[in-house]
Order: sequence, then structure tokens, then C-alpha cells
Amino acid sequence: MRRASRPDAWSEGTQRLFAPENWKHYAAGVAAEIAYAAALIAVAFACAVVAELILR
Amino acid sequence: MSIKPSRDDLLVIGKYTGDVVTGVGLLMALPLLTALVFAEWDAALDFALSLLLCLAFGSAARLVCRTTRPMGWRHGFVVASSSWIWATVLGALPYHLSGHTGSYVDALFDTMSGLTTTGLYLLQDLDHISMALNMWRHVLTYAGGQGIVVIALTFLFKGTSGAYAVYAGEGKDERLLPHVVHTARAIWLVSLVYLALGWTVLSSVGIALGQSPRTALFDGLWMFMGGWSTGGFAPRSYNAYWYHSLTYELVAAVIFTAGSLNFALHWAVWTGRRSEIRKDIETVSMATTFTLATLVLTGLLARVGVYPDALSLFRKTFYHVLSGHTTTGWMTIYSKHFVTQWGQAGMFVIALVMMIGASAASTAGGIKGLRVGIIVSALAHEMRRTLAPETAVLKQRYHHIKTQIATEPVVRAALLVTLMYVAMYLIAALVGVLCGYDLSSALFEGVSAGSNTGLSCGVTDPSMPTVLKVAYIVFMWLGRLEFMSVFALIGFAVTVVRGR
Repeated sequence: MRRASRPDAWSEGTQRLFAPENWKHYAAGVAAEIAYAAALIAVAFACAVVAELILR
Repeated sequence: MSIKPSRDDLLVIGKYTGDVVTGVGLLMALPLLTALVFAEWDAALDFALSLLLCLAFGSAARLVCRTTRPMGWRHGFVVASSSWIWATVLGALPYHLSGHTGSYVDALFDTMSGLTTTGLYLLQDLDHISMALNMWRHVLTYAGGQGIVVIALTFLFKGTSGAYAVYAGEGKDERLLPHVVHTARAIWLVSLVYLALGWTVLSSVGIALGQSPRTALFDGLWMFMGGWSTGGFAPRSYNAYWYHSLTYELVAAVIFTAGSLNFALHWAVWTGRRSEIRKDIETVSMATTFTLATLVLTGLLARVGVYPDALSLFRKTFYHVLSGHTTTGWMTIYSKHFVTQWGQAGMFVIALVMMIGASAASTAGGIKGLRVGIIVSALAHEMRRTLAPETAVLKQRYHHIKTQIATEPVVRAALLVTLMYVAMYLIAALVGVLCGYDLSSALFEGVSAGSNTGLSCGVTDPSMPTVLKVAYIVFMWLGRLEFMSVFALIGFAVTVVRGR
């Protein structure tokens, strides 16, 4: 008797990672992370302007 | 009494170490292909030989170490640390065969630096190395950023009970998904999405700056790999300074900042919990220490008048504080400028942010924002407890992916690892001083190696003493694996010799 094929859990898991409905969330996540980096850079710019105005 | 490992223990470790080395060998296919495309026949031969040797090592390990015994927790840690040694020894072959290294120690130094995403290098005549070797440098750092064990988990290990231990042993002890193999694949998903995005943007900026499409494409790829992995390798000896472009610096800074985030945080943000990025103890800790360091450094440099205007001051300070804090190590000044222009105070600020580093379970090194956050929160908690009524029950909470209670073991572990990092930084500085360098340079460079950053004030050079090269190799390894798996390897070796 042929054994019924067992679904490959790893392949299923990987397919779920790449499912089309996830990509909208991934894009929003990338945008949030870019915004975090941009905020750090903006803080540094403010520090430089303040230092320039006060200390020079 | 320590128990001597059985023959089966050794077989398990040998088998899985062989798998990881096979994975590293397969990575050499990329530079080999590059060499063939660009008709670099000498380099092609170097990589073909090295690849074959890695595959032979992996196959021999599988053949000799045949066992059905599953990998356990103890094996996992030993596999993680020993894999890094073998990957470095074999990964150094193409470097040495290229003729661009002064000795095999120099080749080992550059390979360990690449794998640990440090970015210090001893390679000679970097501007004239083959395209294939440049590809190998950046593939090493990109793979090292995700973790070579993550590579093996993704493609080679078929889910074993000790797989999580190997993963944790590489300094990434947070799961993104319940299954550790899925976690490894999710890490690759995040890295590959950023690769597509970062490569496209950097190449486009390169073309806009006047680079030929081919140069822009390769520079974009390599700079992405160096930045995302917080590695700090760049295809040219002038490092990031070569581009002389604010746009390039801003894009690069966004890439290495994203690369320095915890993969578990990436996953939380990518799966809809976007507010995590402003609530997590690691991002809050990083934003706080970054702001303080930038304030102090801009104040120092503005007072000295090194840079003519606010924009120049901003470009140099934000880039180096962020590059040091994320443990990337890209520079837009010459190494010696740290000593001659920034002075000891400026170097100390950068050394401090390098010591702290970025996020746990990321591509970055250093003590990590999570531990700094937990320790600072514990201090605040102790102060609150002192001032609170005796009957009050207070719990120390912190937010990392979810709100968690900082139990005593959590705080103790954070303190212990921090203490080990600080001890390593001090020993690194001491070794530098004993080798004849002044204290500020020895501390700066030692911290840079131990925190896997790669900023250099000029100490790292092919002519530096061999003992210092070897010491930095060990510090890079210790810093990347966060001590525990290295201690497990040492403990394992002791039990092999002295156990009963």
C-alpha cells in the first residue's frame, strides 16, 4: 500500500513567509524602519545647528 | 566532576561543523562565478581550489563522523564556536592565494574581520585586487552578518533538537518564529528584501554621481553588503569617503541603521506591530545614547573649529557616531584625523558608542542596547525601591517585542555579559599599549575590534605586531559570539582532556 504523502512543514512555513498578502505589511515595516533612521539623522542635524549657533 | 564527552558527542560535533564549513564553501561559488565572468583566471583557480577544499572538508567530516545521534544543547554551542574557527581557517585561503596578504595570519585577520562584520583589514593594495576577491570580502561580511550558522540552518540542517543551541551560540538568541529553521529563513527574507532595495538605491545614486553602470552596480552591491551587515568593508581603500556625496552618506546611514536593528524587532514591525520601533527598549536606548553622543561630539568639534560650517559638522558627526554606534565602521575621514583633528575627547566619545554597539540578535556587535537598557532600568528600579514604602511591591518592567519583567537572572545575565565586554575592551587596550601604541589609540582600536566595529585610528596596518593581529582576531571572535559559546568550546576541550 502506498503511504500517503506528508506535507513538508518546512516548505509550508517558507511559503507562508512569501505569501503575497504579507508584502503590504513588509513594505510598511520597511517604511517605519527608514523613518526611525531618518529621525536619528534629523536629531544629529539639530545638534550640529545648535552647536554651531551657540559655540561659534 | 566533569564528564568526558563520548565518541558520539565528538561525532555529532564533527558532523555539524562539517555542514557549516560546506555552507561557507558553497558561498565561494559567487566569487568563482565573478572571476569567470570577468576572465580573472588566477582568481578563478584560487576560488576553485578553496571551494573544493571546503567541500572535501565537509564531506570528510560527514563520512568520518557518521552518527544518528541528534544534536543536543551542549553540542550546539560547541558547533557554533568551532564552525567559526574552521570557516575562518578555510575562508582565508583565497585571500592568501591572491598574494595580497603579507602572511596567513593577515589572511585569517581579514576573514575573521569579514565574518564577524568588523571591517578592519590588513589586505594590501586593496584598490587593485580582483573583482572576485572583492566579491568574496563582501559575501563573507554579508553572510557573517546573518550568521554562518543561520546559513547552515537555512539550507543544510534538517531541523534537529540542538539547532536552536547552534543558533543561540552565534549570539542570536531570539526566535522570530516558533521553529528555528523558519526563524533562519525569516532572517534571510528580511535581509534579501533590504538587499533588493538597498542595492537598487545605492546603484542609482552611484549612476547619478557619474559612475559607469557596471561600477555603480558592483559598488552598490558591495556597499550594501558592507552596510547592512554593519561590516564596514568597502570596495576601495578610501572606504565611504571615496564617494564624497551627502546623498550617498544618507542612504548608507539608513541602510546600516536598519541593519543594526534586532531581527526579532524587524519581524514584529514587518508583521504589523509598527509601534514597536518607538517602544522597544533597544531603539529607545540607541536613540538616547546616540543623541547624547552627538550633542557632546558636535559641541567638542564646533569649539575646536575643525569643520567650517554646520553642514560639514553635521556630516562628519552624524556619520561617525552612527557608524560607530551601529558598529558599522564606515568612515568619511582619514584614520589619522581621529588623532590629529578629533583629539582624545572626540575619540573617547566614539569609543563609548562603539562599546555600547547596537541591537542584540542583529548583525551588529558591542554590549548591545538591550543590556544597556536593562541595566539602566534596573538602576532606576533600585532607586524607586529605595524611595518606596517598605510594603510596596515593585516590579521592573521593560518593553522588548512585548512588555517583560526583568527578573533577577535577566539583570544578572545582562550585567555579566556587559562586564565581560568591558574586561575585553580593557585587555584589548592593554595589549595595544604593551605593543607600543598610546593609550587613546590602543583603546579606540581595541574597542573597535572587540565590538566588531572597524573604525580605525591607524593602528591596524600590515606592519602591526603579529601578537596584536592575533589578539584582535580573538577579540573579534569573542565579541561576535558573545563569549558563551567560546567558553563552552573551552569547557568542552577541558572535559575531553580531563573528564572522566
